[in-house]
Amino acid sequence: MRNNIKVFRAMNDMTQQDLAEKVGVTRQTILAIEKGKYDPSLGLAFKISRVFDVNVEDVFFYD
Amino acid sequence: MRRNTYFIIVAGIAFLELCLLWWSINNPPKPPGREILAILIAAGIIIALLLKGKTEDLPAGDERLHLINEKSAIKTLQITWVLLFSFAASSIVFIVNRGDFFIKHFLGFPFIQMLILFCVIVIFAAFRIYYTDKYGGFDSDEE
Repeated sequence: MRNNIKVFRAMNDMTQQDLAEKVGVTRQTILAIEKGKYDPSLGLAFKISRVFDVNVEDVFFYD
Repeated sequence: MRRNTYFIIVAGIAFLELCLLWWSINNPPKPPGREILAILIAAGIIIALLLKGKTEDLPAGDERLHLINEKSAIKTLQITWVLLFSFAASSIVFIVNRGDFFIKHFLGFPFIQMLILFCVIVIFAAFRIYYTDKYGGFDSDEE
């Protein structure tokens, strides 16, 4: 699964740590998701999308 | 309970258990002292585990950390089980080939080990059934 979390973070002027704190995970988890090494759960994917105020399909792409 | 208090208590329990173990090696107790000692050591470990549930601000970890721990634990269980079973089986073969003295005095240990390994399988099966039910494995289609 691919994602463009990095783009949305840049658009919202947010660091990985900021996003991690908002969704209740560690910075390493956000880093792993951005690099494609870890696929988030459905709940976490929705939380991340809500932080950016977009739909989950705008952030995550299933190959 | 605060995290530091929990760590201090666990360190204290571990120290007491080590002292008990050391004392029992130097002064082997007679029954029922041996049984009481075994129960005390097990009780210390159980108390430490129960206190962990009552401790605040222990780092809980996020879903990724839980997945890492889960996969590590299952692989460790599989490998440990195979290693212990292999050791127990080869011990039985070794002891049986050594003669009556070894059979009489040592054969019990690998059999007890195999019994424990069998209990591990039973416990694993019980947990599998529990979690299958919890996550809807036994539900039927309403249609």
